[in-house]
Amino acid sequence: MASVAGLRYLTIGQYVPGDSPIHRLDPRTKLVALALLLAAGLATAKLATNLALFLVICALVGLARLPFRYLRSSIQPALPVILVLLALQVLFYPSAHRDPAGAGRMLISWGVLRVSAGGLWAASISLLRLINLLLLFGLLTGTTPTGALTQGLEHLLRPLNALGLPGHELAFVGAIALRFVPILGESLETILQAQASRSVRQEAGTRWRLARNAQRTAALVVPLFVEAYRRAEELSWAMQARCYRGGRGRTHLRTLVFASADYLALGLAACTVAGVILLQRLPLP
Amino acid sequence: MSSGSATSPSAHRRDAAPAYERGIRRIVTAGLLLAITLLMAFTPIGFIPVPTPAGSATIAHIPAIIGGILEGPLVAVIVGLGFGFGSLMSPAVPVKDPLVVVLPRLFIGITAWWVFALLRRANKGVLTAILAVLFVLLLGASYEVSKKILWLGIVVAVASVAITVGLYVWMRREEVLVFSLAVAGVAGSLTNTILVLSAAIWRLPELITPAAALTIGLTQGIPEAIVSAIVVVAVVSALRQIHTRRRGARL
Amino acid sequence: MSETIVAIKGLRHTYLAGTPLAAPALRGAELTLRRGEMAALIGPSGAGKSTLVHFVNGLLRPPVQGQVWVLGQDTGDPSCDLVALRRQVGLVFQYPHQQLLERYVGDDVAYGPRQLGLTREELRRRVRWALDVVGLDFETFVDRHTFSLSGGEMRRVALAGVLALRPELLILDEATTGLDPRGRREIHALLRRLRAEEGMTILLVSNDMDEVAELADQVTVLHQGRTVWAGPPREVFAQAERLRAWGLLPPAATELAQTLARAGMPVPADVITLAEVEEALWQALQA
Repeated sequence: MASVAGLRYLTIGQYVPGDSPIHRLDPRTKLVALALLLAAGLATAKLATNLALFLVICALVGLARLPFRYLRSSIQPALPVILVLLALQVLFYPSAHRDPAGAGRMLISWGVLRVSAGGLWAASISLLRLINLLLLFGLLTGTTPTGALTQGLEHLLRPLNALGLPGHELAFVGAIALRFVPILGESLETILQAQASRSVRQEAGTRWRLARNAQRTAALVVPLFVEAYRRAEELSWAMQARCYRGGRGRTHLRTLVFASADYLALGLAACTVAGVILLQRLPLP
Repeated sequence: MSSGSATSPSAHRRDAAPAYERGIRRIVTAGLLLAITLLMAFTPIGFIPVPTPAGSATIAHIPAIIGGILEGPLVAVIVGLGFGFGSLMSPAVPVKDPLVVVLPRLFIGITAWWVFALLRRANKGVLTAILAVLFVLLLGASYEVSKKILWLGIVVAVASVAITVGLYVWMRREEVLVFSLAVAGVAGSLTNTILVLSAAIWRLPELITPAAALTIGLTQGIPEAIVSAIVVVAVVSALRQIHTRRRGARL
Repeated sequence: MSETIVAIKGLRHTYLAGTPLAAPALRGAELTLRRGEMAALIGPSGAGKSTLVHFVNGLLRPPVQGQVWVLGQDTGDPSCDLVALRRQVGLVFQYPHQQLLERYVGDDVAYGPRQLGLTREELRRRVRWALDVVGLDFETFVDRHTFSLSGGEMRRVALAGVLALRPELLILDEATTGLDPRGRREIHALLRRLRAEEGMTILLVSNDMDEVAELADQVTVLHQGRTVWAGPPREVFAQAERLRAWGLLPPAATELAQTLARAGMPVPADVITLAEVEEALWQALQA
């Protein structure tokens, strides 16, 4: 059984406390900027554009003063999957694709598997794109505590309220979820300990006993859901007792205020996107 | 405080609650199901060892399925949305395209809800008819496949017969509710697999080819579907005191 | 003197060692248990009681520093038979719904013994016995849905599930916290019966000094991960200032006796149960 001590400390993308210009930006700015840069990064597969994006992101990371160790942990978990996907891309690259590094040059040919220069080129660009995107998210979660993120998200979803969609409620669901992840994590630790204490047979836990593994996981998961429902019941009673009325007239302890730095940041993000579009149109690799 | 009411509210009592209470309950339940989803998506708890090349299958989509079955389509969409969002933000997922990671997840719970709602009130005759239709479809698929690769078509045909017969036998013996839960679990899981892979083929054609997607779909998707069925039945039957065919302990 | 079945010395443990979240939990803990005794482990929150207890049943092992010797095995030894240890040491946690896992009560209680390879008849007998010991009727409860029970019933089922393995040492980690007085009294009676009839050794981890005063033969006090006292309850509770320094209060009876003594009544200061206070007052008023 995997060791899960410390489940209570789980966060999605560790926040690294700091006081850089990026840290001090309004979370709404960062979310919008992320969305813009993300869209730019997803839309283009050229070397020039992705390289430009990479430089911009590196500058931002430098500005945020994020430690290298953190950046590494932003990319590391996905590496195995990335490498497999890239290998597949290289090996199965159809030679009919355009190939700027040399007209369809075959480097290694071995039956169905062909490693062409074109394939390596495409895979390199894919790698660059993936790194860009991973770093972007690492940048967001590293400089913004989750509380600020949900608050920013809630603000951004406000227009939805005008349309009749429950923007505030959606953000609130997110806030509840984040609040309860460590609590349920703690419960899960105890559940695991209780079941381990009653496991008195040497289990050759191989992955071939699918039904058995599924039963064991079900045994862990059932008390977790029961606990979650229990807490949901308590929380909803508590909210009713406090006359929760949704987002209407709700105030916050910390209000989000736009500063000049935010306008600047948004402007820069827009410029970057414009730059990417420009580079995309130019006849560059 | 309230003793055990989280696990045995009568359906009548819940539906009779005013809209205000139901609204809050939905928000809160969605939040907690999402919390479980996030816990599963980011810890070893969310992965079951399976006999596939990847070694493990995810169960992080199961709270969305359960949310759909127990709470309805609205909660299902919210939990699915949160699941997608969480995946998007996670450093462990290399794909960052919302159309691949977020959009398909919205439908996991909806499919489960729909399938469950459809099947739970069916009688065994209707279920038999549905199985018969499924059988015919599978045979048709195997015929199409055999036109391209003969041996594979035969394999698919044999597998279809085995699966359909097995399902029929089980369906006749098991309670309709339990059967519906299992099928809903499978449906939700397959929705996740099929839609995500389809989106991946569409948006990342250089990385995910149709052949690669089919392979991943079969090797990961099928074990995940089986696991979903088992876990969904276990959880929902515990939460709603649903009896299985064996109405008691195995003693 | 009966045999020692648990001997822990100089135990140190840090959670998540080597990460930025490292938290030292034990800094030299000691624990000695003798067969057949009812022992208590007390200390303020965060003192490391649960951590210490997890070392006793093998959930945590091997000790990075220190020695953990339980029922003839050294858990620091790689060849230690953990499976046997888990069977011999039963651990009951605080919240029952976190310990139940099967759909039906009978299956949940049978979860442990089912792994022992018993025959169907033996299994049924075990479950019947375990449910009987905790005061639940077998026929009524065996096919009930586990999560449809009341809180008190779930607690009993959780206890039955642990007892069904017939452990030699039973550890209750704050298993009575939050119980109403009647429920607590029932559990106490149950524990006494288990000790008398089954010869079980019992370790009670508790924050309730009254409970400890009622039940325990010997008390170990844990403070900031270190064992600061071990001895009979009477001796521990007599030291009011040290107790306060450790973040603990003496039992209500002792406080009452001390208040009375300060007011001039001839009541001895080392009483620990209400019965003793009652007796002492009676004696004092007669004179």
